[in-house]
Amino acid sequence: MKEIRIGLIGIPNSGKSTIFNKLTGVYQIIGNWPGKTVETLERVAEFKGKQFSLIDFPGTQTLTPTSMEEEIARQCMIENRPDVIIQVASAIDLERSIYLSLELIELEIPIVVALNQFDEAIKLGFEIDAKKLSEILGVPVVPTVAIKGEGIDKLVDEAFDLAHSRSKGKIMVDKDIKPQINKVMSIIKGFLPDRYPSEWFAIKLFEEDSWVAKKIDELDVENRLRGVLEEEKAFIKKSTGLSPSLFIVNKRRLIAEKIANEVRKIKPVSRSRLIESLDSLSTSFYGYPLLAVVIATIFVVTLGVGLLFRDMVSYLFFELSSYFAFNIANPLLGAILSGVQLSLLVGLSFIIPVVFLFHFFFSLLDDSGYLPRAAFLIDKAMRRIGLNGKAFIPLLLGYGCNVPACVTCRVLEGEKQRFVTALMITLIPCASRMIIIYGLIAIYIGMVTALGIYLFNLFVVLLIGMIVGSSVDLRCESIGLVMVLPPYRAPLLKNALKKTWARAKDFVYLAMPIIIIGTVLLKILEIAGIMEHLNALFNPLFVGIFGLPGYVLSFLLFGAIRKEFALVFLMTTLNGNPLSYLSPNQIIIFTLITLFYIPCIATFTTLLRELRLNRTLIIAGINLLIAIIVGFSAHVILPLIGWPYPKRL
Amino acid sequence: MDRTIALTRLDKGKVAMIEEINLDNLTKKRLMALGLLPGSRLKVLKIAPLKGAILVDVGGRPLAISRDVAEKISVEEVE
Repeated sequence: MKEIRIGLIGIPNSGKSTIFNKLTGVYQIIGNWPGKTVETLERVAEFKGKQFSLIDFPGTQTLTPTSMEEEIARQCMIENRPDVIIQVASAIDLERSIYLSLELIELEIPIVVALNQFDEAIKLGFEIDAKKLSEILGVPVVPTVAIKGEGIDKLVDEAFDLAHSRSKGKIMVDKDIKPQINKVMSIIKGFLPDRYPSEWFAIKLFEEDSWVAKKIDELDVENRLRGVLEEEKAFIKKSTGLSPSLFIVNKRRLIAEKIANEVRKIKPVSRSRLIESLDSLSTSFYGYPLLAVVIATIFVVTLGVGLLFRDMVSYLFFELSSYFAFNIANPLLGAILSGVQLSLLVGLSFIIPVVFLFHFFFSLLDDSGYLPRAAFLIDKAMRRIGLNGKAFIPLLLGYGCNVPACVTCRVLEGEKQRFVTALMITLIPCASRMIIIYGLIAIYIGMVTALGIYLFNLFVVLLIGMIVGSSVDLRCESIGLVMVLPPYRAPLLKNALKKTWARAKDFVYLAMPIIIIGTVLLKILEIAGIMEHLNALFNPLFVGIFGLPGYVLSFLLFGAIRKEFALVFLMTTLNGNPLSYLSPNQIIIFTLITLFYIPCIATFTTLLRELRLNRTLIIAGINLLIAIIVGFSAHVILPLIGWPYPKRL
Repeated sequence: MDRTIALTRLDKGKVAMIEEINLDNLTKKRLMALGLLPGSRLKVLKIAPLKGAILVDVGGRPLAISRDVAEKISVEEVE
């Protein structure tokens, strides 16, 4: 028997990722803001002995794409038709969910609706008649509470039944314009490959969908189509007073509203006072200081606990190393052992606490529903640059890790907006660069300078956003913010911990081994005298421009793999004591360069996929240019103003 | 008397009916799919400080709209 293929789709914030996880057992990031599913993945899944392949579509409000991820979702759905689609509908956002159901039904793919967040709807006083909804739409509707796993069994059963019966819902949007649609459909029908639903194509031609129009052009449909289409469009316009495309969207929406009101009873309930006041606080003027406090708390607690942890680990290492004194005669073996020891010390004391804590706090923030509120507040400022408030979410996530932040740019409308936002993200110090600021500046120079570097960085990010934004003429393309705010939810500790692990595990599995091997290699290079050559070769250049010794080049090269490597290899090469080799100014200049000079390999490959080669190279070029300008300026200016103050030692 | 005004001129707490959306078709479709269409009712829940974005209730769900988009939406106050 052929394995059945199930597609999973839903509007943002409907709980689609949770259902995905229940169906596959794989942990996918769940968050409380639009746009987590960032790639369309097909994978083999098994649920209670039933095998199937599951295609995960990104969250989409409608099948009329305005952002890249919606475009991807739709193309994949048409070109790569699943046997059945599970639509995750939100019981607390019924109109928009039904709107998507109507569009899916038009695609003539069998669908089953998971009426999710059923418990939240009851809390909000919504009483929804799932049976009635099912009768009206002509498709099965299963109430679910995905987060608790309720209704998932039934959902899978229905999907399997449907894959065999292949029964489809009723198309409703064509009611008043049936003759017009039929006329166009009869012309294109003979030319469409079987997998293309002909009525859907006809409807989309009336909706002036550019992708469909292009497909029809490619298919060489009879010439008379154009004339007939124009004629029928004119007829609709004359009889309804609306352009056909708006008439159809309007109609669909009105049908969705009518159905929602038929199946839903609303009982007034009082919302929790705490949530109510938190909601009103976070969107009022006090939301700005609140935002500052939230972000500052994350940074201060992470750095504070990180410092404490570092002292503990260093102490432990000292105790331990006195037991295992390395008096090894063989220099090669000695280099290997000291390399391993140093890299473990640096990895455990510097990086692990910071990475884990930081991702943990961001996960809590992500789940709470706070970020879209911050986006609402900050919209005006973002519009100044030419972006909209939604771009604030990827930018803020950039402080955690640039990679998911760049992928998240897909939720933004418009290519230029995505490009400018991605460029700004690459300049934002992620957790890895935070480790450098913390490990070099906070520890050896002082907290004030560390904070100053963050502020200076923010200034550069905004400045570059403004310069590049106006030079690519962002304003003409970017549309303003139109975003549904999800309700506040208390983040679950279990979810946050899982998400932290999902984001931080790369460090343990991938980065730690590279750090150990790299450190050992550098130690060997050092005893072989190769470091001296490298030093000599690049010395004039680095001393001249930045006032830095040439050997920092090797740290920067490692930093291109992962940013924190620049710190790790600096520390291990300088025997854990940078101040005896570099002046405080040199440390500041080095840190500034590492902030900007290049996107790390993971970010680079992500950008390649998201923006293609030329734009990725432009971003990398701008990064390098900024690093050179900033590094050189710091070299000239820092001695003039007598920073850092107060001087240590 | 023509009582049509831009959405941005509505005060917090006011309820209005959408008359017209003067934007390009793509943005218009997006707004419509989210429930902002001629004839539908909305309530201004909040205006971001310093004349920022506008938060409206449409069909029981809060929707954030940039000020420049809201300027292009004409409404008629009903309450």
